[in-house]
Amino acid sequence: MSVSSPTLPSMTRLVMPLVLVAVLALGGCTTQPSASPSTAAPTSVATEPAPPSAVTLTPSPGGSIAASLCLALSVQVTSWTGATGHRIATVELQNLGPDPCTLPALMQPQLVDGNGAVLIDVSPPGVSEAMTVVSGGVLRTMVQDSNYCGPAPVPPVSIAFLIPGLPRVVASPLTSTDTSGLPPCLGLPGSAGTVEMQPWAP
Amino acid sequence: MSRSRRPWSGALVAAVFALGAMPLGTPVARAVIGTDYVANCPVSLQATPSAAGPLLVPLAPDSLVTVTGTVSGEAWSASCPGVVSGSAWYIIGAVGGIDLVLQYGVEAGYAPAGLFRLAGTPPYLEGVDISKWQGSIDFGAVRAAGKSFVIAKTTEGIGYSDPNYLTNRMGASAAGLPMTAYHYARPDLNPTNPLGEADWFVDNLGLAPGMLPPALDLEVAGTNSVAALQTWVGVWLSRVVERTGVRPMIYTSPAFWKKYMGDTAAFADQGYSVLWVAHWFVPSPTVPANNWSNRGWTFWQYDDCGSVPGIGGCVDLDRFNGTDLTPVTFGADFAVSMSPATVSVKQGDPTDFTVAVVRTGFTTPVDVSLTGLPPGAMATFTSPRINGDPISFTVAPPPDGSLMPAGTWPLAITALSGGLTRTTTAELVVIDGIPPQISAPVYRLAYPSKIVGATVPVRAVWSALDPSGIGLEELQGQVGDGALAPVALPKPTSTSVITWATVGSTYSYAARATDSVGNSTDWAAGPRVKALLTQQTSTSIVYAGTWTRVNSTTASGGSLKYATRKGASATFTFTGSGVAWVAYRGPNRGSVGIYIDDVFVRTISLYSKTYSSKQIAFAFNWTENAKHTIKIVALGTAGHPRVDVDAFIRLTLS
Repeated sequence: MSVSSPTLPSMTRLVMPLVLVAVLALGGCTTQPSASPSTAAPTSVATEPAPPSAVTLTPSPGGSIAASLCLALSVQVTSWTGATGHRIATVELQNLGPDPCTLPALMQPQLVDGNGAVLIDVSPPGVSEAMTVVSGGVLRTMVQDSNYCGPAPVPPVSIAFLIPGLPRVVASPLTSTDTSGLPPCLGLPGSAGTVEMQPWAP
Repeated sequence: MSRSRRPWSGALVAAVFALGAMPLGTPVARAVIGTDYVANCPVSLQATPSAAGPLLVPLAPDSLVTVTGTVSGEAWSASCPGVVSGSAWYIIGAVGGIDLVLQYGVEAGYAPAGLFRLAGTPPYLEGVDISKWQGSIDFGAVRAAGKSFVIAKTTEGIGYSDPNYLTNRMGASAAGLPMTAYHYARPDLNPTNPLGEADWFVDNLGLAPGMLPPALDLEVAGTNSVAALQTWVGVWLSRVVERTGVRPMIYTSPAFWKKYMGDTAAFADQGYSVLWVAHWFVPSPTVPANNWSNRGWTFWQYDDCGSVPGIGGCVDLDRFNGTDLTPVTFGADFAVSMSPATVSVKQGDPTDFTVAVVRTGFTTPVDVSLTGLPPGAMATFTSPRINGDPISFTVAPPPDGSLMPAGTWPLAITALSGGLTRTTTAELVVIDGIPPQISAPVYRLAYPSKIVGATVPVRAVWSALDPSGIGLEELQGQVGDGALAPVALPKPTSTSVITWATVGSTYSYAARATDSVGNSTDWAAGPRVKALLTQQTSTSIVYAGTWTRVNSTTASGGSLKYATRKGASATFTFTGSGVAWVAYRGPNRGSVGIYIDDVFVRTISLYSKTYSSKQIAFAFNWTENAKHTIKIVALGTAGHPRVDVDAFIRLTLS
């Protein structure tokens, strides 16, 4: 996989009200909010992914993606680690479609529960680079959250991404009961949490 | 990036206070009851709990205010010093101890609660804690930004290590930032294997002197009961202590410790005194376990999204409760050294030593003191306190001008700091610094000897004494007012030498001695000396008895007198410092009695198997000129009674 690396914002960190979560397979342009997230089955719709061949980054002023938005994606949390009040998810994304597609390098991440309820949200990112992902290409990112001061969530806890022009994508959780991504409340009761992501990268 | 819960940030916007709104009337002095706080940064004291409200007065950092209560007001956010935010406002009744009614005519002012610390709270050291999330870090920039320590994630559970730990550790160390590592505990995954987690942590920790205490990041309980989690933590801590010798610090939040650890103070009481408390966005943290068994917090993670140069994005901000990390630095130590290790100095000379401190995670100044000086000696330090560069001190002889006693003196430097005492020694060898004692040369007519040509033997004699021994003697002489010239001595340490003085010429000599350690005297000059010859024909010689004159080409002056009868005498009266009798030796010569100033001195025999002329048969010397007599009395030796008077030699000093 060859990668060109124009300068990207290192991460985004925003806070937003709760919104719905969906685990989405975009193939065929039909939105499939997850009605039973607790099943936690992998959400990829492709069979064995082809080896990724190329990912390129294309500047996309205004955050809009010009063409060939990725419609068939597999997104899953591959691990959660902890760090003094934070939880860090490693997330993998794969283009399951037959053609190269584009995605913004920075999206709006959300911490969501098993019902799709947003636990921690951020504002949409500003200008973001657009990345072209070849068919079968894999991208990875890290998402960090902290300071969840709300009520106990419904397992599993996962990460969702809002992509302009597309339905929300919810990453497959580690397991159907996993809540290891839920950060402790270290601020004042009721204080807002944070969730931030680093740019997708090959 | 921004946070929606922080609608505005930076300094509070000032507004001009409308004086017309000030209540009229005569203020009455009163005591404001409240708690004293100190501003952490520039703060605007507002007339209402709102940044948009009228400004009463800008408060400088460290301004003292008296807080009488707290109200909920407009949301605020500021960097003071870390990013803080909230909606709680302090009700302030006095500034600088003076009632606001007296100062501004208002009952109270308002300021964001997060911008103050309790009065009397010690200053902090700022630091950061990091993990792989922060990516590549420019630790030099972090340090330059005023951060004083770094805590980096190293491990989690069993088998996971932070991929950036080694890089972070090396980078922080290279930048001179004290650092340590934390282990993210997973009692949820390994509820029965705290030993495994502790071992995994220690295996990856790389604890080294100079590091801060390693930390247990405790924020996951899993399904463990309070008792089970307490046991888990206790086993983990004990294992790390067992393997490292260091008691780790504990990272926890007040809520977690209370809920999942039963708010136990047992760990604080068992010596785990260093608490790293996580409590964000508050002016001061809540400290669990009865204020950590009255020890308070040591490290405080107070914000999760600081902006620090050298680190991209958000980073956790931490404080150390104090200004000196030494007490919590593993292996914090220092060594003191003194150089040179041995120095020799003459009794009257000063000498310098250098004292240096090598620090390992030790930052506090080191005070030094010196013992072991020779009696009376003085030591002067460039500074009695070592902060960085080495200091030096000079050992000098007593100020009264006396000398240091010779000998070997073990000097000891005692260095004190941070409850540690370190010593070092050096050896001061005080050696003889005193030149020898020397006496100026004196001159002695030498005998037995003879006149050689126009010269007579004059022995220059001097003496030199030194406790260290004499290493070198030197003599120089001059004829008349001629140039001084060295006189060769039989040995380097000879203190006399025969010089052949031409009769009638004036000589002078000076001697110098050097002891075995190189101390030299000045040249010690003797008097001027002249040898004079008085022939037997001189009227200054009075003969008694029968003396017969004989001409002889081998005699001094071409003639001599002799006597054979016992009792015949020749008396020479002279003024000088030495006298010698010149005669003939041979098989037919006999003995005489010698009288000096009419006092018998000794008997001298002129007998010899062979004949020889101009023999100096006897000499007598004094230290100064005076009038003396020498009397030669024939003893009538049987078979060879003849005795001669050829001449007398005398020395005169001037």
